[in-house]
Amino acid sequence: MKKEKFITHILGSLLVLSTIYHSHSLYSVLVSVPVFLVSYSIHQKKETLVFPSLVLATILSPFFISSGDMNEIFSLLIFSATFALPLSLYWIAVLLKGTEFRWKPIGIALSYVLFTALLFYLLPDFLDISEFILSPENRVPQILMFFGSGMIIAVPYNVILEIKS
Amino acid sequence: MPEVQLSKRGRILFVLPIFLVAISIFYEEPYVAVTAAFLFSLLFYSRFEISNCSVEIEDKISGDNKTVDESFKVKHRLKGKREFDVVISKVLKEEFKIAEENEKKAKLSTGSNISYTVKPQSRGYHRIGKLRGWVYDPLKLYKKSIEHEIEQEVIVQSSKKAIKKAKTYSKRSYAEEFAENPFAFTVRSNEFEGIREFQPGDSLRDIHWKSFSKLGKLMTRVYERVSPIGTQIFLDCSPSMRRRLPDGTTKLDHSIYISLQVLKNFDILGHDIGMTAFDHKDIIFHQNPDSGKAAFRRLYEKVRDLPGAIDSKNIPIERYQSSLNLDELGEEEKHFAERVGKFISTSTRKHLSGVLSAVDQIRVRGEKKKLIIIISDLEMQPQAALKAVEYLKEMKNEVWLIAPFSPWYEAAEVDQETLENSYQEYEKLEKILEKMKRLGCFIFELYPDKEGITILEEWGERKT
Repeated sequence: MKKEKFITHILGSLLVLSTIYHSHSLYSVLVSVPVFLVSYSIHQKKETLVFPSLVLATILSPFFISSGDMNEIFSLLIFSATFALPLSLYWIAVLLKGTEFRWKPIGIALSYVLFTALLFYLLPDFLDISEFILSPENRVPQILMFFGSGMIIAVPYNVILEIKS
Repeated sequence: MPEVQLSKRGRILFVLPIFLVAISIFYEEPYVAVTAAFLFSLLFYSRFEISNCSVEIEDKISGDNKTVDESFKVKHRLKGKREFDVVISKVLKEEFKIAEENEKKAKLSTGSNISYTVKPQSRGYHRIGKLRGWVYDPLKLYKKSIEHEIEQEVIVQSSKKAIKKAKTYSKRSYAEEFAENPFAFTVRSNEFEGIREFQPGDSLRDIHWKSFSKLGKLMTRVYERVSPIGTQIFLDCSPSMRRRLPDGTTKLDHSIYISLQVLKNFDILGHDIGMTAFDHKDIIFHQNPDSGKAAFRRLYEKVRDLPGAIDSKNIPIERYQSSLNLDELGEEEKHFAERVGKFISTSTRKHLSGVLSAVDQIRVRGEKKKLIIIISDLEMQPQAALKAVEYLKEMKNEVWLIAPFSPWYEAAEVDQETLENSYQEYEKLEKILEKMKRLGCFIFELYPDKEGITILEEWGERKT
């Protein structure tokens, strides 16, 4: 088996386990179906099936994620390291074919997440609404704030990369 | 600057995090939004990579001699580590047509080759076109437009079909069938060959009276054989002749085709053949009449270098109204014309009229009694063409005019108004054509389907 294929299958299995770990239901085993489909399409070289299966796996897995709390940084880090980051890497491993793996663009991508998180924690503090935003009772504004932070950071990132090209 | 866009995959990945955020809000689960942020960051991965993406394309064009309607292969080799999407049918310029309909789209990856067959539509020096395509980043989330101009210039010669047809039509029996008397344009050599006994039918002028007094019987002078006169084609390559027609060809292309056929016909019938190509300003090349296969081959190679098609938008029909009129020379020009000679023909002294310069070539060489075939649409400088016929007739030449009449060629392309203008222009030419006829010039109208042999046929009919 090729090295890239091996990494893809391992990451897929890890994702299934991680989904089961981060959910409190055995229904999360269902995620293994699209992940298996991804592995199967890669193995059979059915290019057209790879991307839809990947999207399906991505849509399905977050349905089972529960018990997240933005106040618990440790828990968030565990989640990022065991699910969100492997999912991103899984995308890269599945879509990247025959080309060299490069750390620099991964660094760019991760720095975007890091800056989004920074803005999410710093901005409410600056506006003095930390308690309101980070409270587990205000989940919807919390998510919207996180989403907004991501979008605010996205603009300068895009501009910088456009200037580079 | 190359354009960077999200690919289909990229658009899906752009929407996916938004969808996840919606799920996150719906289930009140913030970690799903965190997953969305990670996924969204992949777009920056690709955006970073796409800025480093480039492809190097190596072109290979097969063969040396290209001719109209004869396909040749174009190959491209992709150097680089990226995938490249290209639509072949969009590569080619108007002068070329893709031969295989199926090969419209192609996906190239590192080290791969692409080849397609191209059919030239018109003669001249052409660049094939540009490879326009999209190069993808490794995840294929972003794509960047790439344009690669195929640098190598292709020289396209006139159709080989024309030569084949010319050869078929110019078999002596064929030519003689249509040209009632192929040796009508002949000249008797003054070279004295000998004396023989008078035969009934011999010319009385040729009786050698000295021998008669010595031998007491009629003797006739015998000259070297009667030989056909040289045939020279005057080919007009003015912008009006080179205007691109809807099918990508030009009137000049058809005129070259006709020239080659007519020249081959005359070559087979024993005439020396030559050609002078000129535009509205000057002579492009002049080749004296010569005999044999080499002469025809030389001319065939020479016409290859004639200028190619030009865009019709650059020369509206109205522009021809400012045709040359020799009577309208200014005082200064008249003075200049008197000093330099009668062949200076345009109102600006920098530019000589091509057709008169061609006549000048004949005059300078002191060549007389030739068959001169002028191929011109007379749209530019018709007055100069009339003068040229006058001068050629003065030099005792036989003159034919073959006129490719614009509306026949452009009916499919131009609108009604332009067509009417064109007819009006042609009506103006009627007077000039009438004058030419009075000078004893044979006029043949040329239309797109006409073959060279039909001109000989027409001439044969007119003679009878």
